Amino acid sequence: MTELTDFLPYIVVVWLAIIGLYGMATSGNLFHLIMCLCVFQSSIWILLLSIGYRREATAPIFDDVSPEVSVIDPVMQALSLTDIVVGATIVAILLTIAIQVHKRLGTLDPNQLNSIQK
Amino acid sequence: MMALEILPGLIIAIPFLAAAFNRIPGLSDYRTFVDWISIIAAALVATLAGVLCFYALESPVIHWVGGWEPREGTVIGITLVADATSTGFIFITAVLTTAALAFIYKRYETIGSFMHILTLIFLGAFSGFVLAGDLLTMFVFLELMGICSYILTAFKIRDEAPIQAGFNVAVVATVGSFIFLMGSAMMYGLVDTPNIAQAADRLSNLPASPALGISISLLITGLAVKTALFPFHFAHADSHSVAPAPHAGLFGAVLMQAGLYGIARLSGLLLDVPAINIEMFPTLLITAGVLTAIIGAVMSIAQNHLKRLLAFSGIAHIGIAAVGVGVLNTNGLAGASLYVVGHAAVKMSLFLIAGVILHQFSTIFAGKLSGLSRKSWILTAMLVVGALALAGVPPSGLYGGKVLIEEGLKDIGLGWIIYILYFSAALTGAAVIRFTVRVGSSTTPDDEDPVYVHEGSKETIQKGGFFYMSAIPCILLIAGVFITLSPRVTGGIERAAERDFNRSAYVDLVIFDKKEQFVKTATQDFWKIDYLAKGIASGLFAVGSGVIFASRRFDTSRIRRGPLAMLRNLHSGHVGDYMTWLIFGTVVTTGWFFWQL
Repeated sequence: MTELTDFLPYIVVVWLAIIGLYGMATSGNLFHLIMCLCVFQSSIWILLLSIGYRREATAPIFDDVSPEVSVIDPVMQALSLTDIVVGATIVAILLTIAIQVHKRLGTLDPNQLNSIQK
Repeated sequence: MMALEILPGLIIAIPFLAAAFNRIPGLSDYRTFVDWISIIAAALVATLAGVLCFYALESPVIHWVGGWEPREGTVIGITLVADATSTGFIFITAVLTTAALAFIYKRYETIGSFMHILTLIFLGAFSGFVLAGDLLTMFVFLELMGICSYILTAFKIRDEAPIQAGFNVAVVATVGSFIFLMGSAMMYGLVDTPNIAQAADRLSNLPASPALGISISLLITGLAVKTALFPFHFAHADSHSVAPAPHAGLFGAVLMQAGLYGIARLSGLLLDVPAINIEMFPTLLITAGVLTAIIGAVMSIAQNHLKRLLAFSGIAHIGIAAVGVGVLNTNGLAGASLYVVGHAAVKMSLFLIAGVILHQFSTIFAGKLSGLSRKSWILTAMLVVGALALAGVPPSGLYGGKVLIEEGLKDIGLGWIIYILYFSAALTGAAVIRFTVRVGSSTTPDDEDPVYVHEGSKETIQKGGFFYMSAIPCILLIAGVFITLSPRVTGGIERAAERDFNRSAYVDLVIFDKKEQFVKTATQDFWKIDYLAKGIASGLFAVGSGVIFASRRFDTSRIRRGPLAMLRNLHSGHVGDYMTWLIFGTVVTTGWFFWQL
């Protein structure tokens, strides 16, 4: 049982990564595509948190516990926060561009965008 | 010595401070002020990086952020590693950024300070990425650099092509950085440290495992997406062809090369361990590099739009440099460094020439522009010199780089690959020659214009300043053409490549603060008749085929069938297609690492 619960997060990571990438490759709508990017990104958060997780450990705040107590890895927590910020920035940029695409071309379907010379 | 150790931190901080300064309300309305602050900041970074590079060639400088030095062989802090390769690379980038900002000064009028701020943040993030000694810092700066490039790509937000290209490159390159992050997180899980030197040290005692294979392959794939290696180059080509000329130049000259620098760093440090079969890596990277070089060169000669032509030419040349990195020996790495330096100067200057042509004649499409040789002989001459330099005619930096890459390839018994590289480089030279010949004739061609990029609306562009704006690419071009003639530069690059990519030297330097002395005895002789003949032959080939392909019978925009049309149709501008290629490339790389593990 323990092995399964240790392994389970990684299955979720792979699943989210695959459906996120599949969605981005096949999407017919730019907003949907951005949401798929978010799904792909959430797979990374789960990966980071499950790598940093320690069994029987507490939060890495040494205010009221002694420094000998085993804690969850704070590096991965900090990194997932950083990644959330990066993700928010990217989504903001992409949404801005998507709105602009809709304004200019009246469509959000990437199949109908053909302004780039081959 | 103390003063030197704060320089790496300053190099990163100065551009960010200058960028923040430019946003002070009220002050940012004074355009001259914004311009001068930006130019001075970039020039200051160039100076500091140059000084640091000079000292780092003797002994590299390590900066522990906040003074958190390693305790008993365990790294606990964040480190910036300033060795000759990283600081030299920052020096080149800062010089090119200064040139770009000086160009913006005359070219655009009513853009406010946003373009300056993004350019400065790009420089700061670039320095951070190159100096970073751990994977997580690398990720943060890699993505920051990426974000600047996405916004600059979509800078002309009222036009159709820039927003489409901006969207594509933002999606594809972001997924690339996230793949890199996945790889670094797994590496952290395996070795319990984000520090590259410590990871390299601990990996040598680690058994082979699937997690290790996936981790390394994701790290390399993520960086390869940023490097624009085939099959990840599609979105980059779009981005470079629509970004404003100075920034397209920066992307083509240093942004992709930053990814390649990452690959070179990590493959030298993390792959050379018992758990991984190092033999497989050259095959993978050389294959990708050769394919990138061929596809980039063929697509380049098929373009009628100067910036798009240069975008594909940049991709061809990054493929050639990737072969140098893939060789994984000192000659190959030194060759890649010299190649990147020479190419950066030449490519930046060609993009700036495109900017000048656009500024003067409002079009850079070969079907619209005519009589360039009559209107401006100096631009024509610069285009021809740039084309010859791209083709690898001695003594350009691209020639010197290819000589070293050839030596590296011979060392691993793949000497024949160099002919493919010479051919690709000659084709990119031919592409520029073809463009020059087509726009040089005084008859007006009547082609339809298939380009939907309306380059900058009239009111945002200043009038005049032609000589000022042509002087900048001219200086860069001269630097790029004559760089191999300086034994100081080539010798320094060879010495740097020998030490900076050496695994045990790097680990000793970062963790144990031991500086090993390297004395490179044999320096390459660049002037053997064999090399000179190859360089001059590819120059002649470039001129010949450029002139032949310039005739109307080979008007590539009219080709609708055959392999070339198929290749063009692959570059569809569709983000879903690009993502499919990215998934394909990731699966191939990961599968390859698994198969060879």
